[in-house]
Amino acid sequence: MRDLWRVLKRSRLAMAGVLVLGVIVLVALAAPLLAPFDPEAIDIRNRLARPAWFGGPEGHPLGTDSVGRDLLSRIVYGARVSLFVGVATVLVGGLFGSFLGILAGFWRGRVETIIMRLVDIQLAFPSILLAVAIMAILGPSLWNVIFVLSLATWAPFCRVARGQTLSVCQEDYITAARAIGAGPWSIIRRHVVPNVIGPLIVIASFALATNIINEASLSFLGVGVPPTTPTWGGMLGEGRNYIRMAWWVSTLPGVALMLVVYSVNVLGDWLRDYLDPTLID
Amino acid sequence: MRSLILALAFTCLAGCSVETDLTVGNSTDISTLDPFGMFSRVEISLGDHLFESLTFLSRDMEIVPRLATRWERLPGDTTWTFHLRGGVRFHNGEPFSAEAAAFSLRRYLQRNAEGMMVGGASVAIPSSEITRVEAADSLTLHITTARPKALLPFYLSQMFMLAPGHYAGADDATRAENPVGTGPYTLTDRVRDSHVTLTRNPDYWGAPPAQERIVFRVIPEISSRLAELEIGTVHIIGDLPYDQAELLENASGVHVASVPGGRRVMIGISTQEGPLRDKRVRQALNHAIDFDAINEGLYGGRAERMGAVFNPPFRHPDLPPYSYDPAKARALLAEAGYPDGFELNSLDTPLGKWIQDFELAQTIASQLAEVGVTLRDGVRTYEWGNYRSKLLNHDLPALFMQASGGEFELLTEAADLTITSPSNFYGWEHPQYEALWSELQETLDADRRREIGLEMQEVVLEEAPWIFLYIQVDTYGVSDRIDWSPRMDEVIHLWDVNWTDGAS
Repeated sequence: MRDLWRVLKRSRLAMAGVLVLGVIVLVALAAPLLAPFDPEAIDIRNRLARPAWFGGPEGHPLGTDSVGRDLLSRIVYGARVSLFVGVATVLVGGLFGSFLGILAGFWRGRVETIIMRLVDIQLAFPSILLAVAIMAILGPSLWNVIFVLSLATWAPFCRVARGQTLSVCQEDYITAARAIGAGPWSIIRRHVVPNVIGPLIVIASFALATNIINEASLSFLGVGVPPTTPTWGGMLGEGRNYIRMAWWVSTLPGVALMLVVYSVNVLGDWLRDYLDPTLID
Repeated sequence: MRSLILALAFTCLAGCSVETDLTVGNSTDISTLDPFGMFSRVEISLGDHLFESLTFLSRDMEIVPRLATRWERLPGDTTWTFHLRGGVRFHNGEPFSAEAAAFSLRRYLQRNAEGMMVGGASVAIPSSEITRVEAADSLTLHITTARPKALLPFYLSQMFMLAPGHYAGADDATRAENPVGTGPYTLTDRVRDSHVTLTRNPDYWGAPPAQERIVFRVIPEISSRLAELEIGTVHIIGDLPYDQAELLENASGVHVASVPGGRRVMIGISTQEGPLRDKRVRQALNHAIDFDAINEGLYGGRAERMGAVFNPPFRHPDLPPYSYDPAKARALLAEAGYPDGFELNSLDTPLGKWIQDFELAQTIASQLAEVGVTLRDGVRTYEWGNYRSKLLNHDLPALFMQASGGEFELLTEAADLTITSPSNFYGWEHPQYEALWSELQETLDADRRREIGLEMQEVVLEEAPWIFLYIQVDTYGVSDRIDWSPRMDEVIHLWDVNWTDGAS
């Protein structure tokens, strides 16, 4: 771990990513302390107020939205939803997919055929379209969003985990472990998992970015989290009718979204280089 | 090089000429082309180009001849004779005759008798009230009513004349896709959620329609409608929020046209549900609304608060709207047995159908919460098509956004709140109102009718089946290239609209 930190410090870009992401995670955790207003409190007389630093009234640093809710408070609370959905879907989808992938790679045969055909079917659907369709049936709710996006996430994990497991199982130490009578679960736990986890972490970082964007897309389209809950995607969607007279309503949550996704991607890139043995000096 | 530019220029000439078709940008699509199913103003606007009725509601909201040239009441007041226009043909070549008119009216009455909603007028005149429809000769129609019906010509302005050869035995799908009327335009093309294109009817009996082709497009987002208006691909857009209208006033080549409309915007209350059965609770909801704040924030102070619910000339001149009085609202709730308020399921609204509907609904929800009335599922939004079928099926939560277009006629506006009306979405039934309604239908004396109308409005305000909000000022964005001005009933007619710059 200390080793990881030392290498990380060498990449300025990755450090910037860590910093930005760290700040946003802190902001999300401390949302109730940081938000100057209740994010759902409506003040219709004060709608579409300009950001204070852009000639608007005092009190609303980032201005207000189309019904007069404080934008800063909503962005701060929106960070919670975005990060929570991102992390939860990667955990659920990632663990599920990786588990199936390792099973497929380890046992081969019919188990592998069934699992990998399921992956093919899943990958044949455009994931956001599938998500919109399922959300339209289930109705808007945070848990439904997590379920739907996890469903769109598991397949790539499964593929990579299987491939890695296949190659690991060719190694002599696996044969050796079998020869001394180690059971399959013990082999998976001790030898397979540690060897496949690197690439999976890289995929997880990209899936995190994708899912944050996907959650925003669903909320933008109005089929994500219920509309009164502050989410970045929902704010983008609500603000688009006002883009010509009140650019801040959809621009600022868009900037927040961009910062998070960019940081996660930078970190993911760096992780990939770090974990790729051919690039290590 | 020069030839390339020329070629490009010609491509544009060919391509651009399509774009100069006179185009209206609507926020929602029509649900159907079935003449029985056209209720919304967008649908009626389109329907009026395809179909015609015996009488016609003019721009000044007066009844004028259309397919009937004149009419008279026979002695006894219950039988009318309508003299029909000769030489009129339907789009499929069938001649229009008294038989065709009788066929169409019977169809409407039959649908109404089956309990189906078939448009404003038929709702107001139950089928049982018309006892006989008969063709005396090929261009003379007799209509007999059970009791004297002074407003029969008004009702007839809302029933389209249908080609019997096409519509006899036609199933729902045929009617929904293939309109055949006598109107100035015929259907060329309909792509759901995209556009409807109409082409001039070459055999039209009246003045030749001004435009060869007209297009009704669906552009759900106001920002896109505005952008298309400004670049000239759309020539009329409606439902402009006032702040966007201000933007438009500064743009070149377009102008803002507005008329005091008749659309009454309110929150419908399901009056048969839990605490909402108590009228004190419904009054409390009304006292909880700070309309001045809404008006200032959303409408630039231009909206007219609703107290009296009917439109001119029948509007009650001095009914004060509910005051904003949270203390009184809480007191009324306590009196009704809810000192701490209560929870309702939700407030539903379509998204983008009515002006700033979602913003309005969210604000109302937060103001209700101030007096302790909370929503378990908050404000729920629906695409208009889904919301429309929820309304028609009376599948509604405790509170729901509603906006009722103006008819400027007491009978049709009053009918909406009778318990037998399919458009009474509120489950509201009041004996005094029903008694007034029965009397109204038989009353021919204009002064007494007006009095009944005033009493009805007093009852409605007191009983509060709605959270009364405001009466809309209809605001349109219009291209400077056309000579069109809005009607007060939100119906858009294009057959006499010309280009002002001489284009064709």
